[in-house]
Amino acid sequence: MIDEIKIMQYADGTLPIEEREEVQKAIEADPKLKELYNTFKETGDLLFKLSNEVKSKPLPQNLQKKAEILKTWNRPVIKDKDKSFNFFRLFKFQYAGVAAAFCLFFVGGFYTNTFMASLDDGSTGTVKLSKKIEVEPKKLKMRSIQKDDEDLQTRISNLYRYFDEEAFIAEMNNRIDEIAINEEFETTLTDNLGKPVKFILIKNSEINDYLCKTVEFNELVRLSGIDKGTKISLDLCKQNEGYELTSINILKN
Amino acid sequence: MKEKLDENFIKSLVNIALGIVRGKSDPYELVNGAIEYLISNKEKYMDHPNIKAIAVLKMKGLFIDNIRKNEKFSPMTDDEGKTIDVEDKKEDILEKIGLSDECKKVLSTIKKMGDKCQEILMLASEGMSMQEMQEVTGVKSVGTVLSRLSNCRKELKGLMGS
Repeated sequence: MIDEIKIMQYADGTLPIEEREEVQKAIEADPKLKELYNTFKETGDLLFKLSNEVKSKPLPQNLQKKAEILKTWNRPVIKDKDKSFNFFRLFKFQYAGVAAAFCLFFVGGFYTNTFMASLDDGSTGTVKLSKKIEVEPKKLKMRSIQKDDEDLQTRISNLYRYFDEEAFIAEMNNRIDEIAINEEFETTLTDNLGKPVKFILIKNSEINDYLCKTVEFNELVRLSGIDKGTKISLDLCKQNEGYELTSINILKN
Repeated sequence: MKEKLDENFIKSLVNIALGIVRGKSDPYELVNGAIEYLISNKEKYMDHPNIKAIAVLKMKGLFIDNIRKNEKFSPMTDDEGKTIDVEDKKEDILEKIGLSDECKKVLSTIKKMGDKCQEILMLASEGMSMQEMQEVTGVKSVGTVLSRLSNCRKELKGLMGS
């Protein structure tokens, strides 16, 4: 049964994967559920904005000093947990401050969506990841990432859940040669709020004798509960007649 | 599953404190009191798995203590015997924090809602898990938290729209 709690959880991105399809279909079929879904999306967005804005303000000096004291407590970093709001939604967080860079997926040859992860349960081989992976993020082990960096693994998994790579490649093949360096361009891809996703063409380059283009999401992406905003760029290289996605570069904050 | 303790931790407490304080009370004072409590009980709490819930419960306790203290004192009067409203001389918290018009509207709308909604909405905005919210609010079950959150969000939408 689809009750309003499930609609709220779906809107927040906290509904278990196995229940999402049923709820999505119910929302699409029933205008009242659609309205309810929009209510939860909008209020989630408002509260998210409020929280972020409050956090963007500097603390009074006495609290800053106390933050310094708390920092000395040396507690382990938080791991992901069930959140009440949709922390996987895209393009919701303006963020500054990026340190280490990780280039995760470039594998010399050309892109395949089967190269990037293996199951953590000891099984061999690789897992095919598409935008709808059915494996829990915590069970995935990503290439090039230290095992203890579980949040980065979660972020990558969630990126694959929400990024419609096939649509993106198809669209890029039609127009990327006409886009100038530093030009911002919209795609037909939309985020969870229905806003068109924008990219910027960063550079043209040659990788392994292939003509490649690097495009970047024009906003930071929040991909996990503790992700403060991830910068993502994509490398597309021309093979035969078309461009393929050859790497996804994410910057770890 | 431990919270990282840094400025963001304190800022998230400030946000939650906004859902606790009433009138022109200062949320920073509550946060300061809660952090001082944690620091003075470092051995007890430094490894606590849910330190944010501890801090929020402390803020709630401090707020109630403040109300009780204020009730013990008679209002101040001027030479003509008129009551001096001390609260009015305090800066409005919305102005003090310096929020955008949109966020001011959201917060002022939330502040018009009932205590339970104010609390649960601000807790949820900080991404607290349902279990954490259950602990902080003291309700019987996670189901009650979900139900309350759902109802309060519908109410918020209605008030924002009207």
